[in-house]
Amino acid sequence: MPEPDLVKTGVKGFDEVLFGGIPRGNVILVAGTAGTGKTTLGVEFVYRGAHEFNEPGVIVLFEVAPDKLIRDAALFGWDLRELERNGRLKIIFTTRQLFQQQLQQADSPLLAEAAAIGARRIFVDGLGRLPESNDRDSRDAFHLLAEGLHRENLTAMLALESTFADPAAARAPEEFVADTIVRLSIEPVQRAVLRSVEVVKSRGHEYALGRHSFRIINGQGLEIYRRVQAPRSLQRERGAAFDATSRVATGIPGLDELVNGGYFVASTTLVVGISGAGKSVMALQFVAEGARRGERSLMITLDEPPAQVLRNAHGIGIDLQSAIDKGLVHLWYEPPQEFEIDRHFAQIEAIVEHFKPKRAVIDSLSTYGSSLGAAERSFRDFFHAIVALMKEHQITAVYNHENPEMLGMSSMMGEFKVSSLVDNILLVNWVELGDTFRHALTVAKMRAMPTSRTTHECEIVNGQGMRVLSRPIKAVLPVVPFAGYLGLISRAPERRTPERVPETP
Amino acid sequence: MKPQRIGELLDRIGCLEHPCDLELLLFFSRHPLAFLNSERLVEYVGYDLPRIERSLETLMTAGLLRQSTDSTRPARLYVLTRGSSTLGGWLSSLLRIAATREGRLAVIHALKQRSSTGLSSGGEAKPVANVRPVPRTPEEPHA
Repeated sequence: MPEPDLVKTGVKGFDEVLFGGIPRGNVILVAGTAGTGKTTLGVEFVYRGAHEFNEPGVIVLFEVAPDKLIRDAALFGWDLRELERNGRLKIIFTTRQLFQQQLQQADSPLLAEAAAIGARRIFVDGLGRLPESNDRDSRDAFHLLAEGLHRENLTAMLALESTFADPAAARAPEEFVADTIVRLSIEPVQRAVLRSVEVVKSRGHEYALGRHSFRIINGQGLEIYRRVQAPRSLQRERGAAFDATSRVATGIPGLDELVNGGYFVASTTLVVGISGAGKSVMALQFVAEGARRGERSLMITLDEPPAQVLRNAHGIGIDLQSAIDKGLVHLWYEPPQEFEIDRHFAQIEAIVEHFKPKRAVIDSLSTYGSSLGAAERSFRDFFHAIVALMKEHQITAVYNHENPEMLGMSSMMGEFKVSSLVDNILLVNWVELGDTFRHALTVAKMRAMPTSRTTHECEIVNGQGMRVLSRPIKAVLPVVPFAGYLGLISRAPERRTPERVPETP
Repeated sequence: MKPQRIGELLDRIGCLEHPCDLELLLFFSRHPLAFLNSERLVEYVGYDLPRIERSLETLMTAGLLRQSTDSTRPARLYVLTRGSSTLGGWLSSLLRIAATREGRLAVIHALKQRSSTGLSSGGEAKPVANVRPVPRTPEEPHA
């Protein structure tokens, strides 16, 4: 099958959504209400073409004065005047009617201007919607326009202003004729707004469906973040390690023995417990153990800024700054207010691809839940994507999760229904004995690794961190068979009185 | 901006005689490549059609503007050209002055004064652009 001739947009992240670009010669309709970024996208499409891909371009304006467009483009670092001077760009001001007429005339001076610089791309800003009352005529008129652009071998982007926020209400006859439709929107999320882009249709190639977030960034232009839920490469699905012998040391004295020598490579471990139970301490020790072994670790902190994390590490005898300076630890903090989850995920993806960590810690998962809504599908999708990302890159990952129950746990994950996605679950609890809360740790789940479910006592020592205490009284307590209890599958089984315990056959 | 400085610039540029010349020049400096018909220019600039046509002729004769030559079409492709580098420099200075409302009114005032005193394309300095004389009319902007 021949490879399609794809035109790269050059817009950061957009070509990934388009699986490489848009088929050459397509007529691309960019629809959206005012302020959604249609002009910026169109100008960037032409600018990148001329500047990065040696494809001269034309921008046609009906309402915006070229000098304003040039001024606004300069904010993104795009020097349109320079491109004009070098004969790689023409900005033409005209009327819709004249433009339409010109496209139907082979000897049009307007098209001659485009041909004179060898234009391959054209952006037409502010294409007016043709009268709704006569859809057939509108469709025909647009068809003629598309035909004219096609004849000139131009890949055309046409900005069409929608007056409706509801995309269904804004369906226009042009949409049926265009080869590619890109819809830009702004949607309110609580008191913030989120920009999104959706490729509604695109003839001649595959692309990532759904709405992807984007930002308009000064000094750069558009940056599109592929929807977290969008399937990634096949490689990621096959990314889990099948190494049954290697183990990743936890860095917590006494814990490796409980987990058969350490976590599996590329496994996912959830540490669950109330605030203050030692989850962050365990995370720091996991990272420090990696640094001690010369392995790179990524630490994503959402609740505490870097300075505070460094101080916490110092308190348990870990010189995290030194590990950062040596390039062994990447400490990345993003405050959870107004999370844009697609962007956040894209940033993690970029760090993982460039820094190439062997270990990763996320502190904490609960913060994602608070921002995204723990019961929401988007949270589960995000977690699924991040687990897949880590597995693809063979990263052993530890996620902290705050369980609000102070004493004991009636549920490991509460409303976070993701425990089936993780390989290992460690529960860290408070146990009230006498007048003291003492630390308890239970290995609740170890996928593919049979392990004891015994609860162990731990302690956190100032300047040293956490350690799991040995069990000197292990031999003293008898192991009573199930037959020694009543109501085994109730939440609170009772011990039978010794004289009523039936003899084991 | 001192009127004297504006007068000097107008002398050096030489070809601008009517406020419409300036308004058209300002329009084309904002839209250096425009495909329009004269009626549309009338709407944009606010002078009547004969005046617009005379000013277009003035700018083209001075080498500040060129247009596509196909007379069978109602619309023309207009391309702003800055003339020689010397002329371009003076022109840029004048356009900078006229970029503000006060500056624009000052230049228009100077043009009107020159028109009423018969001092156009003249004064001390020799005009740089070779301008074909055009009849002066006292039209005012529509708006």
